[in-house]
Amino acid sequence: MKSLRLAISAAVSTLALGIGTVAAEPVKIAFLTPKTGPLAFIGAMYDPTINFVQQPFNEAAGETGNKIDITVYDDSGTTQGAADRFKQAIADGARVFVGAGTSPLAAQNLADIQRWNQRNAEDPAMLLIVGAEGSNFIGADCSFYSFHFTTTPFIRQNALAKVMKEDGSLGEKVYSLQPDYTMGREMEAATTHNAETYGYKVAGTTRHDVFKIKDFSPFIEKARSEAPNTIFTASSGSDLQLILQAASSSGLKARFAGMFLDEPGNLAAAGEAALHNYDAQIFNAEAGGEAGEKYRAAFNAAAGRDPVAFMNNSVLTLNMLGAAVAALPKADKVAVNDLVKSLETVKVDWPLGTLSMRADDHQVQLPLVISMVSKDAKDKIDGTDMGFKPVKVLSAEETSVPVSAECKMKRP
Amino acid sequence: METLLVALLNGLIYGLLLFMISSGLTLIFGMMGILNFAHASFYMLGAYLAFTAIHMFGFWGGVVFGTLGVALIGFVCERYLLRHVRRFGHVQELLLTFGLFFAFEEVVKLFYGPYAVAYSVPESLRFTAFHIGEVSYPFFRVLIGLTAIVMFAAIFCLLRFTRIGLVVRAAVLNPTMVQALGYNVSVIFSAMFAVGAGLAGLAGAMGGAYYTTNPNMATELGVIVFVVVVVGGLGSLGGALIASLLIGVLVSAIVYVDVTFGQILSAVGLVSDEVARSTLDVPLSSAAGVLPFLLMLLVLMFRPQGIAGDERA
Repeated sequence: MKSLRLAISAAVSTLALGIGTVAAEPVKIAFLTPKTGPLAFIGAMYDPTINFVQQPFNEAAGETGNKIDITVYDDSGTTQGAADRFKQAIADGARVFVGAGTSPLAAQNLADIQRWNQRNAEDPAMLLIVGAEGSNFIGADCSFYSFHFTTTPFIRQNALAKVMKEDGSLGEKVYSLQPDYTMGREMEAATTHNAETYGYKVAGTTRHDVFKIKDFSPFIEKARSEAPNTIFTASSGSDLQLILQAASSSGLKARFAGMFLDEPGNLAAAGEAALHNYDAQIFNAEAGGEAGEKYRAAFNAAAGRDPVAFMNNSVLTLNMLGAAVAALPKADKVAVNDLVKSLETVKVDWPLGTLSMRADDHQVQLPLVISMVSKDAKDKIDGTDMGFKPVKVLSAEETSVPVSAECKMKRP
Repeated sequence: METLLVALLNGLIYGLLLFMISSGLTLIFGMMGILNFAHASFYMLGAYLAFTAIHMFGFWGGVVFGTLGVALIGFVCERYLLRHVRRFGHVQELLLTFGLFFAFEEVVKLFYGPYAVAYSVPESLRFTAFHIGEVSYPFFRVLIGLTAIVMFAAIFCLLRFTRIGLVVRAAVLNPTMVQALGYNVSVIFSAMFAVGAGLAGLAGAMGGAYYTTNPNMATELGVIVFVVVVVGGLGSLGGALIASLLIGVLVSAIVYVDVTFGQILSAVGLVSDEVARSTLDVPLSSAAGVLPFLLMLLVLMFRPQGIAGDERA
C-alpha cells in the first residue's frame, strides 16, 4: 500500500515536471491603445499589425524558442482608462507593455510602469512606446524600462529640411504653423533651431488650437502675408486636412512639410490640395525596392490595406521585440531585465535599412524616407489617384540626433 | 487693408456657416422647448448622406438628398422617440437627444469607418470668385454664404408672412387653443423638428464638402453651435445670426493680432516683464478656439438672456 502511494506520487511529480518543460509560458505582452471614443481611429490603425507579426513569429519559434502572446487592452483614449487597463494587464500577468496612443497616454503608461517598478523591484515591467513623438521620452523622462520606437519632431524636421535643401524645394523663407501642444511646440523649436544649418529664415510662427478650429483661412492668410516658400507643420488628422484645403482653395503657393500626411484618410479628405507637399515617412514601399514591395504585399494580404504611418511603427516595434525575445534562450519565464538588455543589442532588417536600439537613451535608430505627394507614385493611397513619391531615403545614421543631455538613465 | 478685408470676409462666411447649423437648433428650441444635443449630429449625417448619394445623383443631387434625408431622420426621431418622453418633461427630452448624439456617431463609424471620407467640392465648382490683391477668393465659400442668407430670408418670411407661419407661431404660444381650432399640433411639431434637422443637414452637405467629413465633425462643432445659440439668445433666429457673425469675425480677426498674453498683462501692470517674456509668452492667436467660450461667459454674466433672447431663457 505504502509502495503504491509512493509510486503514484513519483508518477505525478514526473508528469508535472514533464508538463513544465513542454509548456513554457509565452511572453505576455499588453498592447494598450484607444479602441473606442474619439481616438478610436488610432486603435483601428494598430489593429491589423498585431497578428501580422505575432502569428509568423510563433510559428517560427516552434518547439525550441520562446513564444509571445499579445493581448489588446482598450484604454478608450483617456489617461484614466490607461491607468485602469494597466492594472488589469498586470493582474493578467503581463509585464511587457506596448503604449500605442498619444503622448499624454504614453506619459500615463510610463508613470504606471515607474510606480510598479518602485514597489516591485524584483518583478519589474517594461514599456515600448509606439506612436508618442514627445522628445521627453528620450530626454528628462528616459528610463531603463522604457523604449521609444518612433521619431521626435526634431528628428523629422531635421530630415525634411536636409532633403528639401538638397533638392532645392526648401527655399529661403520658412514658416511654422503648429498645433498648440507639446509636439507642435517641439516642431516650432526645431524649425527655429535648424535655420542656420540649412540656410533659411523663419518668416513667422503661429500655433492653433488642436481639433477646435474649423476654418483655417485666417491662419493661411496670416502665413501668406509673410510669403514663405515652405511651411513646416506637425498638425495631424482633420486639422491637417483643413489646413491643406484652406491653403489650396485660397491659392497659397507655399509647400507644406509635415509628418502625418500619410495617416489613413488624409489624402482622401484633402484631395488635390495635398499634391506636391512633403512628408517624412517611416516607410514607403517604392523606396524600399524589392524588400519594400514584399513587405507591402504581405501586409496588404493580411490586413487588406497597405501599411502607412504609425502602422509601420507598430510592426517594427513588435519585430524588434520579437527578435529580442528570440535571442534569449528558451525559459519557463523570460525575465524582463534580460529582455531589456537583449532589446538594447538586437539588430533587425527593415526594407529601408537596419533597425537598432541606442542603449544610452533607448531611442530607436531608424531610417526615414522623405516623400512628395504625387500622381506619379507607384502605390496609390486611400483610393485616390495620389500616393507618396520617394525623394530620398535617409539612413539610420543620417536621421540620428545626439543623445539629450537631460537623459540620465539609471541602470539596475 | 487687403488682408483686413479678406479676414473680415473669411470671418463673415464662417459665421454664416455657423448660422446655417445653429438656426435649426434655435428654431427647435424656440418653438418646442427642446434643447437638442444631437443637432450637430444632423450636420454630420447631412455630410455623410450627401457623400453617399453623390455617386448616384451628382453633387447637387447629393446636397438635396442629404437635406431631405436628414429631415426625414429628424421627423422619425421626433415622431417615434421624443414624443414618447415629452410628457415627462424637457430634461428627459434633453437626455434622449444626448444619447442620440453618441448613437449617431457610432453608427457612422460602423458604416464609414473611423477615418475621414473623400467628400470634397466638385471640380466644376472649384474656381475663383474674385481677387482681392493677390488673394484669390474661392467661389464655394461665397456659395456657402449666399445659401445661408437665402435660408435666413426664407425662414423669416415663412414664419412672419404666411398662414403656415401664423399657425406655427400660434401653436407655440397656445397649443391647446390651436388644437381646438382644428389644427393637428402634433404634426406641426414633427414638421418643425424635421425642418430644423433638415437645415443642419443642408449645412452638413455644403460644409462637409468644403471642410472635412469625418466621424468627429459633430463633436467638433457641437459645442460651438451651443455657444452661438446661447450668445444669440435661446430661440431667437435673429440673435443666432448676430452671434454667428460676431463669433466668426472675432475668431478670424484674433489670428492676426500679434500680441502675447504676457504683453497684455504686463502692460496693465499685473505681471513683471520677465514673467511676460517666459511663462506667459503665449500668443493671443493661439486662443482662437477658446474665444467663443469667453464670449459666452461674458454674455451669461452681463446679459443672461442672450443678445436678442426674451425673458423665457
